[in-house]
Amino acid sequence: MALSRSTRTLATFRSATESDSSSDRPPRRVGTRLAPDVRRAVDRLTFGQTPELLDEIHRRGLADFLARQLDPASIDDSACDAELSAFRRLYLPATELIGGAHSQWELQNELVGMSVVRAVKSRRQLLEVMVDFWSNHLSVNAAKHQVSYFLPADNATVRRLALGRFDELLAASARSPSMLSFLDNRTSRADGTLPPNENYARELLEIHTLGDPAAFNEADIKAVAHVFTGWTIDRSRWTFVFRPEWNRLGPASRRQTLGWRPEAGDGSEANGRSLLAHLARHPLTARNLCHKLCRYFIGDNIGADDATVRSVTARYLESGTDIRATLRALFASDAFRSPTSTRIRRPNELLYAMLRATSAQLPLGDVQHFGRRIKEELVRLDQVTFQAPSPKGYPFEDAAWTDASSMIARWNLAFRLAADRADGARVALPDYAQGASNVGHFVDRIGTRLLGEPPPEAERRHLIAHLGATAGEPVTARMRRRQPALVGLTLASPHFQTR
Amino acid sequence: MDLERRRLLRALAAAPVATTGASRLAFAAEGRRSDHTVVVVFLRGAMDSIGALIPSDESAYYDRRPGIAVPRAGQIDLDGQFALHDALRPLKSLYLQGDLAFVVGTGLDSASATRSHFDAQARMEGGLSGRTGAKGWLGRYLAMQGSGNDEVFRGVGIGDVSHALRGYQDALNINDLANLRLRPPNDVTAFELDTTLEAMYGDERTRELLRAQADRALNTLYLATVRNLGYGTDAGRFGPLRFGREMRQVAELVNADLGLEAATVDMDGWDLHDSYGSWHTGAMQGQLKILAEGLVAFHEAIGGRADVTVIVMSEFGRRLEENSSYGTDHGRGGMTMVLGGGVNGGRVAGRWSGLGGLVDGDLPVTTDYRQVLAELLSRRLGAHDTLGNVFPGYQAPGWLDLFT
Repeated sequence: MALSRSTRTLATFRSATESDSSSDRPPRRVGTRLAPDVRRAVDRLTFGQTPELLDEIHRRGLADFLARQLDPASIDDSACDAELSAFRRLYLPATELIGGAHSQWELQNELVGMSVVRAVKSRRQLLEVMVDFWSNHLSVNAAKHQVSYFLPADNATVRRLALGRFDELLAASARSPSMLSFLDNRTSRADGTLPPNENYARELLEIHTLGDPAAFNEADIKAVAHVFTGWTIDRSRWTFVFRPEWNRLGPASRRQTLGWRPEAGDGSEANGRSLLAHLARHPLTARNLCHKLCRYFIGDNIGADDATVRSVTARYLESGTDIRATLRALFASDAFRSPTSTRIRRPNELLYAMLRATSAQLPLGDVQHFGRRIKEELVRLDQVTFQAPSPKGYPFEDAAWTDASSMIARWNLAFRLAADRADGARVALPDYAQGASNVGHFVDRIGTRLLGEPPPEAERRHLIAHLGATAGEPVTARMRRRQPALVGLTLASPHFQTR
Repeated sequence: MDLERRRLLRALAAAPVATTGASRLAFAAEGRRSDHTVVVVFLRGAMDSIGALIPSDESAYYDRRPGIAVPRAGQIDLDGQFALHDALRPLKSLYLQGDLAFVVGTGLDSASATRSHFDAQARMEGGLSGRTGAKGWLGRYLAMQGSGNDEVFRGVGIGDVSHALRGYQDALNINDLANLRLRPPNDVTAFELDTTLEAMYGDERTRELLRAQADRALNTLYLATVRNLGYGTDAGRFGPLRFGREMRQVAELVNADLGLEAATVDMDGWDLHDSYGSWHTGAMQGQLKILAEGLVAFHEAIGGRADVTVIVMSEFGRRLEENSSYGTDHGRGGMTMVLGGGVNGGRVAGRWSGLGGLVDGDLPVTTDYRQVLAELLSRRLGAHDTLGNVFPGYQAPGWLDLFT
């Protein structure tokens, strides 16, 4: 990151004279655009700006902010953790959840609720972004089998490893009861006359690792499926267990599979482990993951053979699948820093960004109620957390989330939040007309709060026109009553849809 | 849609448009490529076709299902050979008036056969042989019909843009037509919001994708508002349950003549491995009842028109033999239902293997599911020339004469 440039801009930012009368934070100048690298960091590394976040960047400088985001343990997140403790049963082990009177539907509601609170409130924003990324890459559907009982613990593992190493993350996923349940590997055995279940083997190759269906064939899938026979769930402890008596290598013992050979005979868990380690380091896996990360952080038009993807891929392999090192390379690339590319916020990202921008209150007195209500918003947006309909997870191609119904749902979320009619969130913004010197200033103050900067000119003039006024006119009582509409339109604007 | 069209829509919005006449006028010139609407109802989870269209005269049915076979008292006889489950009773009159046909033994070809729900659904909706593609057969069909029809309601997925519609990038996902409205805060009208949204998104500096999709969204909102979509007067007959509600959305779009060419509706809950229930109460009975009532309500709501065809399909059938949990496990051959005013119905089509002709305990697939769809495309949608693109590599062996 170009530290000197951002420091300079931030200094200007800091020296601003006009204060946002709505808060007691250090003065912030209304009317100044964010420096491009700050804008980029806020957009891509977090779920959206808040006044507190911009203050922090501006206090520490961008380089320090980035370094700390890559090292989440260095960030004090006790305020968020304290709020999360309201989700009591999500801290229980699966044995208690399965044994007790916990409906899966209720657990799903709370899982969704908790993930929203984290995305909105945690100061470890990059961690939350990466948890979202990996939860989607290694997607499980909480509505299938007993997945929701396992998700609280399995999600904690993803969180622990989200900025760690991919080989560990993959190994943890393969052993996680939620994945074993979701992709049916828990019942996969090769000790009888029936063939092993191929569901996990197929998705492991096609989605989690290699990505390219042309890179493997049905014989590879059969071999991989055999390697993972006996990887199942202990039905008393509800944790991973390897049952050697179910495990037969079958065709995998006689051939080289995707460049890998078993190191032991039948009945050995070590074979599966070494196969996962091999797959995590496979050049096609590296390219698949790094291409996906580049599409996620840069833009979905970047090609798999792009120079940036190649250099990030190289870093992934050199570093031994280290996610942090990979991200550092990505964030340092010109493509990342280029301000020309935009990504359209996926619906969940949009919800988080809106809740952050409006400093929405998330009432957690009854976490079941909260989860149910906030999930309603995600249902309307068609992207319920932990319920992607396919093992591929939710797409993040821009075109997948911009059909006409999606646009209408985006706009209506904006208007409902602005009118404080959203489910699961309360919004009470200060009166920005009070103290606004004119209409342009009124619009800019709202923009600065919601976007971190005034709306771009293409939108600003239409927001002003919406008030039936020109920028220099004084704000009338009628315009003042229009603040919810203006807030809604700013949240519904093209600018807010992108990150 | 361009600005001219928007102005026309605005004019329509201002005029009291209560009937379909005016909009027909407005849209007639748009060059709709197919005058036919296909509605695909997908029964997710694999419907037990043997328990729905019962091989009434075969003793194996009763012998192999000692706990869950529907007794003759709970059967609605069709032709002496097959009988409907009692819960499908409402379908009998459609069958007798020739608007409903059953095709037995339908399913995935042997190269695609799988017992995984996910895979089977994806392969079936993809329409390819032996593999899953990113696009769906309806999506390819709509995309191939060219750009003559830019109706916003041309391809609609109710509740979800189903896999079948993928590949048609303008497919619209509708949960409830009544949601296609702006919900303004106090002191502002939807029209005022709309105007500002149009201006912001229409700005040439706005990214092309957002600009185009916002335009479609605004047109969708206009149409939904002008035509008061979502408030059809006959909501009652569809009942409060999800399937009925979703079929109502489709019926309303059909009746509004908004250029609907393809709609998909899903019905979940068919994976009855256990607790199948008895013939007069329980899971299977409930599922069938909801299905039959939804289909009949739809057919009646659209006046049984001949230019609408409903296809009811499922990823595979289920085993003849009941399992130890009073349910059935995954099988192979299933059935397809074809409903509409232009259907050559009142018969059970396809080749019935007989319960003596099971393969590994399953009904074999005697008709590739694509044969029914290809016949629809060819004989009803005027898309015979594009069959090779909609179902690459598939050659229908002939037609079942499902359409009049």
